Amino acid sequence: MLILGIDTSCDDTGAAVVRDGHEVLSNVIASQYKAHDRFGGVVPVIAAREHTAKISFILESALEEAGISFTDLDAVAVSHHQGLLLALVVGVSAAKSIALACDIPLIGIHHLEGHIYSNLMGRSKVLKFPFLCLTVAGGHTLLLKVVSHGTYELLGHTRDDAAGEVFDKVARHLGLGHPGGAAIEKLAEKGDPEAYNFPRPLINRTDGEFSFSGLKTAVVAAIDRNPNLNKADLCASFQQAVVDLLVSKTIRMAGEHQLQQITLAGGVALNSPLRTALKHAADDHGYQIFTPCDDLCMDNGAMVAGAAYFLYKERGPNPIGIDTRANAPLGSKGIRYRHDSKYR
Amino acid sequence: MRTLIIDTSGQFTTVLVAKETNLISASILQGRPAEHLHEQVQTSLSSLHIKPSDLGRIAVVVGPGSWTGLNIGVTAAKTFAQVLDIPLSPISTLDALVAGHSKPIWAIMNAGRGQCYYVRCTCFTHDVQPAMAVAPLDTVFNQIRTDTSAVTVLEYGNTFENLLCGDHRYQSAARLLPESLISTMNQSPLLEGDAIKLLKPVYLQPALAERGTIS
Repeated sequence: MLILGIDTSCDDTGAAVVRDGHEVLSNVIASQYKAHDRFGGVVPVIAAREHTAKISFILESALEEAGISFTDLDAVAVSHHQGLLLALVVGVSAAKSIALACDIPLIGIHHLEGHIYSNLMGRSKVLKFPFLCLTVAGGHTLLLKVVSHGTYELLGHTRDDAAGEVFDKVARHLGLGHPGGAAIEKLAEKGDPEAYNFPRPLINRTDGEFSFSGLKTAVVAAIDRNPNLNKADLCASFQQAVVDLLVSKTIRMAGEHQLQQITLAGGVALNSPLRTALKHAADDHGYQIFTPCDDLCMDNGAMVAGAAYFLYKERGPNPIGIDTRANAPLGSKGIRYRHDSKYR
Repeated sequence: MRTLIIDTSGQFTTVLVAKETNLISASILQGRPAEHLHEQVQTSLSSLHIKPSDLGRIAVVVGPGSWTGLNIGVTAAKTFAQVLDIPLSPISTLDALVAGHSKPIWAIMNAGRGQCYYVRCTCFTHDVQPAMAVAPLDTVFNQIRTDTSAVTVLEYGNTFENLLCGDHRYQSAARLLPESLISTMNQSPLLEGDAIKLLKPVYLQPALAERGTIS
């Protein structure tokens, strides 16, 4: 089954062709970081404008790289829930046109399900339900028990900022540009992770809850107190605090819920110290760790097509009038991982 | 040849199907193009017992107008044209607005933040129109008030009704009319190949962030 996956949930225009949920034939991503860099973050209206300008070329490239045409597609999948609303509607509009013009099923995917399923692609025989998923990016930080296809239990989430968002904001405060995760990781390689003793909020609580806003405030305050501080030391210490928080909660929840397999997903999954620390901690406890390949960590169309392959079998196609929502409950149990006021 | 015409520039989502220059289907719903547009296309084609592959051309209103509405409409139209490999005609909002009206005429619409899109048309054909522009309300309204030769001041929407009250030439239009869209479409260029992929909505103004009003 050939599925075209489209993701325009934030500032990356992604389109990909995936065969049978596993074989990635193409995965084209147009990043907009140059358009947003001078603002220190993503500007939603600019993201929407860039998606509209680029979407046709990205679709064409995805099909060309896969060596197929629109008429070869069996379905089209799109992120329609979770992200910037102005950006999501562009990808959804393109996907609906393809579904109508080609007379193929339209499959709406919750953006977070794309991240969750990025680990199942090519691994559905070794990764068995239930497993633990830590998905951590610029817009969310969640610990989930993945019970079966499309069914999840929320074990913990951030009460305030997402981990990736904190990376971006600290980087902006240091003048490192946007996105900030890679810049902080690079600078941190030369720094001492114990130079600053930043707080690890909620780390001693026995639940899976996260909080990063206090850590962000502490780091920003340290920068403001001493503008000439050693940036490498600060980045290394900040990064270590984030890693400690994510790893300790993940390992604790895996033990509490007796889950032997742990998956890491989302843009922050690209962070090497996080991958290494989680691997070491998992090895110490006898857990297996799975991380997607780098191309599937950032927002992309392949993870959407991969999730669609598995979830289409469970849920079937969506109607052409499928809605688009910035925040939507996740999975068959309708998990709410943000404040109730966000779900309108 | 059948043409699918899409307008998501304003408060209404309009989907028309024309055969040559004759309107054969019209679906007009208020708001929410993200949900309505493709349902309207599907329903319109079904009611005519035709398939998307029976279309010979797509036409779309490219603006100015609702930022998000235009993104949805233009993306939908570009993708239809790309998949079906048929030409695409871009339609200017203000061109369609003045079609069929007596000239000279001012066509205006709210651009937000104290500004206004405007065009002054003197000709009966579209090929020699001055370019559309955006300017502060006071500047445009002063020109309109002193332009005694203009016979009509036509607004897309009705936000300036109170500001232009007393000007007997003032009229407002809640949406672009099907016959205006069809006549304007027939004078619009036919885009093909990469020109379709390059098509963008008409954003005469930069985003708020780009104008340096927020840091």
